[in-house]
Amino acid sequence: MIVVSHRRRERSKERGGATWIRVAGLGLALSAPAAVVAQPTFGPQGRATVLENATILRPGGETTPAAMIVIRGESIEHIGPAIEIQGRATRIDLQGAFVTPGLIDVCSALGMTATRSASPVNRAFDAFDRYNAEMFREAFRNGVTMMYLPATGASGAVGTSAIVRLAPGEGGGWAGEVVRQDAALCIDLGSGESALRRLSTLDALRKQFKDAKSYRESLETYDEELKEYEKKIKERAEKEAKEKKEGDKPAPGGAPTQQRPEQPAPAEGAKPEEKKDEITKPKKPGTDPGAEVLLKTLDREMPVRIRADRSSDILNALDLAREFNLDVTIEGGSEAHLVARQLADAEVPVVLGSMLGPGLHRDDQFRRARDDAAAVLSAAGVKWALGSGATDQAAGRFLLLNAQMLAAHVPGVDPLSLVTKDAADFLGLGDRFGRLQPRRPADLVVWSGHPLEADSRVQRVYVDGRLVFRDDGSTESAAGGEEQ
Amino acid sequence: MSARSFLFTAAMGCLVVCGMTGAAQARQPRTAISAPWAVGPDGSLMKDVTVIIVGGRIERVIQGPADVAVDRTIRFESGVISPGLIDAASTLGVVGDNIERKSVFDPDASVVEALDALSPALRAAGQAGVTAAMIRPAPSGIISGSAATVRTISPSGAERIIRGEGPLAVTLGPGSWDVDLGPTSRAGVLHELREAMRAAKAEGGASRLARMARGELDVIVEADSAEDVDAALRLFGQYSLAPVFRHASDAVETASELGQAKALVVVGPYTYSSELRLLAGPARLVSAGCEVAFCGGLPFLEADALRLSAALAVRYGLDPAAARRGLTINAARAAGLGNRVGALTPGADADIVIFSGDPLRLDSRVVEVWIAGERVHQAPPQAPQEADGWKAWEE
Repeated sequence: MIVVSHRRRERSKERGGATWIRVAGLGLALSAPAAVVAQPTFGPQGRATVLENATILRPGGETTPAAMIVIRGESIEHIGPAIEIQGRATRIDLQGAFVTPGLIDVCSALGMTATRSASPVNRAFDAFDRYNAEMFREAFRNGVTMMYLPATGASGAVGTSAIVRLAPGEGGGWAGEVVRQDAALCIDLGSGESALRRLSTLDALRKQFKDAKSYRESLETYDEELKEYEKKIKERAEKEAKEKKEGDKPAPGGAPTQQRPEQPAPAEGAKPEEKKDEITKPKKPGTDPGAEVLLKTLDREMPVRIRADRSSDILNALDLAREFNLDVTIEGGSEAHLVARQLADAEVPVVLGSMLGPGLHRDDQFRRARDDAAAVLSAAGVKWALGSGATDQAAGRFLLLNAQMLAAHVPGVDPLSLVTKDAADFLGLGDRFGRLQPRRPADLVVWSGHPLEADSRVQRVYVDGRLVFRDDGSTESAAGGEEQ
Repeated sequence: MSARSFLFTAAMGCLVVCGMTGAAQARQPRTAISAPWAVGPDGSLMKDVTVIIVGGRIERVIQGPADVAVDRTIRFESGVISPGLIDAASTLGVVGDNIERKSVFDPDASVVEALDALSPALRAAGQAGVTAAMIRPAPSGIISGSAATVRTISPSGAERIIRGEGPLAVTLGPGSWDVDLGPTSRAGVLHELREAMRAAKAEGGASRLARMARGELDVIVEADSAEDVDAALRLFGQYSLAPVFRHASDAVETASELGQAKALVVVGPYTYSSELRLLAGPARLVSAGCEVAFCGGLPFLEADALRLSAALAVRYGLDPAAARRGLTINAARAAGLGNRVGALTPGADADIVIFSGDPLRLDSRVVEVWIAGERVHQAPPQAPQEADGWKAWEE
């Protein structure tokens, strides 16, 4: 349930309508069935954007023609047959245009600069160029609205990834909205490096995870020792109190209160405290933020994405997952099809990247790449998803083209599903993104024709209900309550 | 003469005895390939087309219902018949350094001599629908030798090398400047080239330079900067040569001059990393009056990268028909083979690819590849794509 509290929102400039409109959206009553919205249940000041005569494309290829999409606030209020809209609305005629959800990239390097250090405390989002207006625009020009950004640029445990939505920032700038910080721990097994370096990377990782375990043990030991200490202190205090009580009662020699009962009545009771049993307070181990991150992965609170291309590295990744009981996904996976059975047995999914790269020469770690690798994975029962890849900063723009390239080699794959609902489900965000449904955030793309046709272009992109990109116009007019 | 008459009589006799089978053996068999769509010579998609093939060549292209007696009919219920795609500048099948670095003038070098006909990259490209590629010498020196055009798959009876000589590769700009061997400046390169062509023309003879100077041997110019494009237009214009331009990332700056000359510009390869300015180049060139042909960076990129280059250019404004021409007939024209391959026209070699959809759509796959009228590749059948019944919206 998305609730917009009394937040002032700046809306994008709409041609023919008022320019900058502040909308103080009341709590959106979103439970009203969309088909009966004759009497809207929102505040009269909630201006709606009505996309009319749109062809909605359902993943799988089916289309729903002449549909109406009503966007109010940041959500889709209605999608389906045309209905009567009351209150103020900006109407946009989308005759001939197609509407899809915003495209979602399960592995992108868009706007990223690679980190050169590897540490679990690195955060990918820190390397994301949040004010790169051209990058945002080119992503929108190709329909991309959300992406998973891995930490890259070194081997080992590189950092944690983020899921970012290309949302405009307050005040008209860009900032990107972090949908999920620390989405996964990114590990790179350095498939492009020499065998020796790859082995030492793996060794170092094992040690890191073991160290994290001993860090936890030392914390646990400390906790136990602390408890023990507190217990002892308490016991002693109780004992003292008891003895004091007892001592008060008989008072044979009018003993002073300071005297410890366990002490054999010292004649020279000048410093009794020094002579009691030593109870030392345990020393707290220093905090290790890197180990804290690894502990989350050991507890399976944070998933792990392991970048591995060579089959040997993938098998090593599976070993690592087994040894430390990690929730692992393989990223890259140029040779994943060679170890499909092992991946299926371990129930480890694979994130495939750019369909471009190895070329026809095919050397190094990509030499056994196959265009139809996804079909082999599917046949073996391995779950997979397709992103634009973690290495090419500019490739994130062409996510849908990449999906189309894959679809040409893998039977039964719908490229559009891959980069909308499948991607959202894969990232665990399927309940909010990747599908056009009422009450969901209005992240949608208007295409001049069928999105898979070569000459279709993105005309409009809405993120969070706001128009964030627009290329050549379609007729629209501000109507219905404009006078109010 | 009498032997021929005898054969004829024998054949007629066979016809009488064996009926139609005998007739089919006596003359060359005719094959009809039909599909709901085909790429026309102008790059647009034509509906309902049948291509009749005889003797390795296209005999007729019929739009609409075809009622022609043929020996074999292959009908595709869906898909697009396309001329085989041609990479307009690649090093497919060429092993190692393909240029001799002893002189800045090396017109007699032939890149075709560096061809490894057994390279698996050739066949892989063919199976992706790239039936031919112009292979070119590396852009270095002023004249680095002759390009050639090869088939990626050649069944018995079809030549591997469609054109062994030409066009001649000329490089202007820093690629041709050489401290040790020749001129070190733009002016120096132009001077030497002008002198060499003037001398060759005066001398006459059958050398490649002389033939080029007489306008008998075509030329492909690598010119990175706008001023080099401009200089080449003027220099070769004097010899009535219309050079094909390549690697002209700055060609957009001189789009109007190139457009006036109706120049053919080889563009690409475009990849996911290509800059905006470059991606928008083909649209600008075509709107100025040029034609474009694509190269796909093969074999350093996937074979599909050729279609990707065209698809990206279309995404950034290029007309789809111009893009399809760029993958087929214009690439053939760049190689000097415009009347031989690259179009579904009578008389052309029957180098044909059947795609499952528009070749510009990257999700279209190669269904069959035919070279010189022979089927050389057939993709394994795919189950029809099924909608998964997911509901996009709920009421």
